Amino acid sequence: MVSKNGMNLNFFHRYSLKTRVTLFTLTIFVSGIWSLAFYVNHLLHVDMQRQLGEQQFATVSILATELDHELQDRLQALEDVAERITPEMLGNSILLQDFLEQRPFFRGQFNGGILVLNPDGAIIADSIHEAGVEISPTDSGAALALKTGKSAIGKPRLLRNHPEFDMAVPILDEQGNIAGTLSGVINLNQPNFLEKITGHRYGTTGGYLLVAPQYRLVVTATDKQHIMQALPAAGINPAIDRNIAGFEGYTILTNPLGVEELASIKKIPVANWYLAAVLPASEAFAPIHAQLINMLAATLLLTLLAGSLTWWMLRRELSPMLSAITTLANLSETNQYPPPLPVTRNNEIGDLISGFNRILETLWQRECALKESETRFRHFFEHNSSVMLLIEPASGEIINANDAAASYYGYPLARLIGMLTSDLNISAPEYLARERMLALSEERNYFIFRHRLASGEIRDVEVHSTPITHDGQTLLFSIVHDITARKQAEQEAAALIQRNKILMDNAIDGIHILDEQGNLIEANHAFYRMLDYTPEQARHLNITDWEAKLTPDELSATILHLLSSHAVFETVNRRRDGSIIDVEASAVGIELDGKRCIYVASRDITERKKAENEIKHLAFYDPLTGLANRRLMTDRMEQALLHARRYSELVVVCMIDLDGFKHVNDQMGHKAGDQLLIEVASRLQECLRQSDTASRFGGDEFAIILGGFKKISECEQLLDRIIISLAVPYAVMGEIAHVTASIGATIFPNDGGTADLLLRHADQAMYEAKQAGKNCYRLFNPSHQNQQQANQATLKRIEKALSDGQITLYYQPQVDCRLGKVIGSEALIRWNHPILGLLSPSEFIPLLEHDDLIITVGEWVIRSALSQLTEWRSKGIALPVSINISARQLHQSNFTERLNELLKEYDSEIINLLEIEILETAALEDINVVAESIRKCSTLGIRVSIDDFGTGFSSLAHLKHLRVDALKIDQSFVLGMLHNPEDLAIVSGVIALASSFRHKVIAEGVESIDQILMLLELGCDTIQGYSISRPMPAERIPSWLASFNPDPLWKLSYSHRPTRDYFELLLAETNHRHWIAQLIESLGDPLETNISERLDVRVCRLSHWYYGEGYRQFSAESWFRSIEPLHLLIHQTATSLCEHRRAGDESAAEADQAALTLQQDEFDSLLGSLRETMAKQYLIDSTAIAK
Amino acid sequence: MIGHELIVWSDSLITGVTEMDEQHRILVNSINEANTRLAEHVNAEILDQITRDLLSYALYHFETEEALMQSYNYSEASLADSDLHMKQHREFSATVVAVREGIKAGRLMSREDLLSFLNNWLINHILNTDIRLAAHILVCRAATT
Repeated sequence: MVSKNGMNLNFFHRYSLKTRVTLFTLTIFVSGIWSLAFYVNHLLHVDMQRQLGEQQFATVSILATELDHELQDRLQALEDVAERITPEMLGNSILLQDFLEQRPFFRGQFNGGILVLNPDGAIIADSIHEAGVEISPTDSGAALALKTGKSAIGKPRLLRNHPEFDMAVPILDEQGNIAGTLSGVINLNQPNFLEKITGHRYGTTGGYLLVAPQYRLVVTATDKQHIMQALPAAGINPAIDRNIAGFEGYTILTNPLGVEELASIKKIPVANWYLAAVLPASEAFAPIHAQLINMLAATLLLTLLAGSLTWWMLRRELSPMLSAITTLANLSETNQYPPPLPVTRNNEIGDLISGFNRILETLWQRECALKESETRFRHFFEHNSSVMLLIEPASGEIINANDAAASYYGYPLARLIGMLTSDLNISAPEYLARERMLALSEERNYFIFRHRLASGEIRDVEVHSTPITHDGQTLLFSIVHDITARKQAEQEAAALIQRNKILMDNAIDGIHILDEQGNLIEANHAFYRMLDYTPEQARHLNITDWEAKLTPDELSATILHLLSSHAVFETVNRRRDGSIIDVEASAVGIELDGKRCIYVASRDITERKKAENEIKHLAFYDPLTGLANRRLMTDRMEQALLHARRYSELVVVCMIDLDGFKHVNDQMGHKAGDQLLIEVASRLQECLRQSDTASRFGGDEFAIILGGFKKISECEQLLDRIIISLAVPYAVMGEIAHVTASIGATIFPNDGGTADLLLRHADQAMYEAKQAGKNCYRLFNPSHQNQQQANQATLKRIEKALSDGQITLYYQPQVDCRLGKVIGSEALIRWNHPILGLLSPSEFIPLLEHDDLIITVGEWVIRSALSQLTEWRSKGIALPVSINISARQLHQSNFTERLNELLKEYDSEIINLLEIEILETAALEDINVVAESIRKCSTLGIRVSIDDFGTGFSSLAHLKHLRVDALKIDQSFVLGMLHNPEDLAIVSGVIALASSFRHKVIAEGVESIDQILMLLELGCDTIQGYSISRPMPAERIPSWLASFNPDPLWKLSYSHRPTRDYFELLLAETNHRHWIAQLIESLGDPLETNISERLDVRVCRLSHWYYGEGYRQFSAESWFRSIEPLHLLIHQTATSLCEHRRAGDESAAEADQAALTLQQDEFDSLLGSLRETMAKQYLIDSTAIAK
Repeated sequence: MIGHELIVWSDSLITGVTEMDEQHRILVNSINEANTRLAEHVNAEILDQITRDLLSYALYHFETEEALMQSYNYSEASLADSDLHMKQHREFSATVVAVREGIKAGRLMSREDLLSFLNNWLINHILNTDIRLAAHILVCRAATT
């Protein structure tokens, strides 16, 4: 970011773009060019070294070859001369000397002289007259030639300060023996042939060296000081060591003086020497160095040039931007609208500057707007008529205030500015500080305060306070409104409301206001109290919630009417608890908040209405007894008849006349008579139900209407109760009065007359009752009367039969077929009728059921059974006996007391053998009483079972409630179970139920072994019925018991496998029989899919048995195979029957049906006999196993 | 087949033996009443009461007739008639008992079945069986007076 004056315009500023670009460019350029220069230089250096080396080596090779030739020529010359030397010459040194003197050319070839030595090494002749010179015997050429017999070149040596070496050849005698040597000496200090080479320099400072490597000696060199110089010892200079070892070629080496030289080596084979040309590196590579310096100079020049150009270029291109930067830097120091920056370039920089121009323009506009806004605010603030303050939030100091504020508070403006808000506000400063923070954080911007003016007056103010930024400072901008007047007005309004509320709430009437829809808008306490609501509960009430008289339609019509009128009316309201009150209301339509409403004042007038009703009551009720009078009675009767017609119920109209009332009236006075009548009325009311009506017609004449009956017997019971109730003596004025009632009744609709006619008939019947001896009732219906008489006659006959001993008990044994044991018996009543013969209980007991005679008979049964048990005991027989107790007897209130009475004479051993059976239907009549009776029987030690179970729709709850010992399955289900699946379902259901409740279960009316086996299979073991034994007189029991033998077939039930098969077949057979029966029955409905589905022999249950378990067990038996054809034939016939029926071919269908019935009968008997066979087979098998 | 019509008591039903005729008349009334009551609805209560009344009737009426048979030595005069007569009585009682058993097990006899049984039995019995007994009795009575 560029600070106002922080822009560093120094060009060489290290961060300047120009500097950095220049330096960067130069760095890349210089490093490139310098790398290139050094690389080129290196290449040149290597190349030049190679060229110089090769050149030098070529030179030295030529010279070396030349030297080799020179040396060989001299050795050849020596050999030529040596051949000419004769032995005479050897013995005569003068001769020899002459010989040598005659060969000057030869002598000229060896500047050190020529010597001839004898084999002893002594000089024989010497060309330079220096005979007697001793020659080193070991390494001189002469010595070597003597020793080897071959020509040799000797080791250079210093002799008499001459550096020299000799070359020698042997002198052979005629026999070829070495007769001496001829050697030529080369003096190296004297001009000699070697100087042709070594006398020249190589280059300016370089030269040649002739080296005898075998002696590590420099033979001669261009620089004479090197002659005879020894080379450094081996290992000191590896380059020299390499040369000595035989290297040829050029190389760079450092000589023993430490000078770097370029040297080339070539061998001289004849002497085993080598020739070296050396050139100091400084001279050899001088051109390369010169070139390098030139290159560096050029590079440096280029570098400087590039730097300058880059710098110049950047400076030129960036100059508009720099000037823009300078302009911008100066811009913030001026408030003038800046001139647009010059756009001199049409490139990115030009674009950038154009961008800057646009930004500058926007910024300028914004600044202008801000300034304008500030000006406006100032104007708004200063000239506003509202009181305005600018407050410093932390201290509460007033930073600024307007004239309106000054005049409102009564302080000069100058003084007001600088005051603290706490100087104005009467609240505590800490509180104000907190409130200011709320305003600052914009959590709240509305405050109610009380401010003190300069005059000391306190005003209520409303302050709106928001944070604003002013000169970079956050201040609270507060507008202050004086609300003192408003507040006062509010308080006055509240007081008015309060006064109105007091008026409303203390009003006695329930005042409320409803809107057009009947919604409750407003109400007073009296209204809520009246309807028992709290104001909260009543919040969303509608008039329909309490109006109980008008229907919703009527109600909306009434509301509509009242909106524009007024009315006073009575209605009925429903309180919250549902109770009803009578209400008087006055209502008027009003307008409230622009909406039409109804103002209602209502008042609870229940008490008043009650008083009014009491007056009305007198018109319809008997003032003495409070019962209905004749007028109301007739009215009610009409209603009851109407109701009975609609619901097909019976209505009984009765006339009651008191027997002996006149006597009471005469003897005890009218007052007593009146009291008795009141008592009669109350007893009547007690007997009646809510819906019944009792009335007094005057005197001792009463009438009652009983409705809602379905059975005449029910109303007969009620009439009996009334007779009994009214016959109970009356305590009247401290004395006892006896009256009874004679009742005449007629039953609607059997007697289908008008109300008057019914009353007349009832009256007629009442006279009949009087005639019949009073204290009884008579029904009007003559046919019913006949029947009644017949029934009464029958009862008398039975009563007589009982006393004549015609009634007797038969006993039917009960056997546990699983155990094969007799476990009890049921005592069954028989009427040994003198004319009609032996009658079963079902023929005459039903006639007693509604008479107390049944109780007499029942008690007789108990007594007989007990005495029979005692008699059997004397014979050692302890056979439990169960007796049947009728509903009427069971429901007697003193049933258990009576039972106890009867049991009194017997000990527990006998009592424990007694069991009681009660009908399920009887048990259900009054479950609680029966449950209690059963409980008492249990405590007496008498077991109780439920008879005919399945006929009474017991619920499981009932069964749980009754603590019985056993359930007896009704015989009708047992009888039907092999034919009717529903019966079978009931039987198995009862068994399962008994098992669930841990009750025993007994099947009665069992007539066949199939039934026994089925029952055993289903889990019922105790069987009673003809299949065991018919009921028999008590005297036959001992002999029957003695001869009792369990049927072996019963065992089938608990031998393992066979029973299953037998049972499966029995079940399949039962099923099949039922299916055929159903098929025939349901042919009216051919779409009965369930049945037609089973036409397919494959899904038949019998097939399932036959081809499954049956086949596995019996396929080998011939009888088994006879089942299949008949079975298939039945299915075929059944299918044909269905098809014919479907096709509408009735005659064919009938033929099929007849055939099917025959086939099924045949099938039944076949399967029956097969099962018999099967059973016998099992018996034989099991006997065999037992044995 | 006699449908749901009420039985009209007529001379054809009079046997001439007063005791029997009085009771027959009661039976006819009872059957007619049953007819009327069952026309409204058939339920277990009504069937129970009707069958109970029939049992009652069977008791005193059959007793009356069989007592007459005994006193007029009907079996000696015509054993077959006597046996058939008594058999019809037993069958009637057995049927009524069976109907009551059915009611108990929830199988209500339909009005048609009950009425046709009663009507058939009554007509058949009075016109065929009782007539013979009555004839025997009337003969006996004529002989003794």
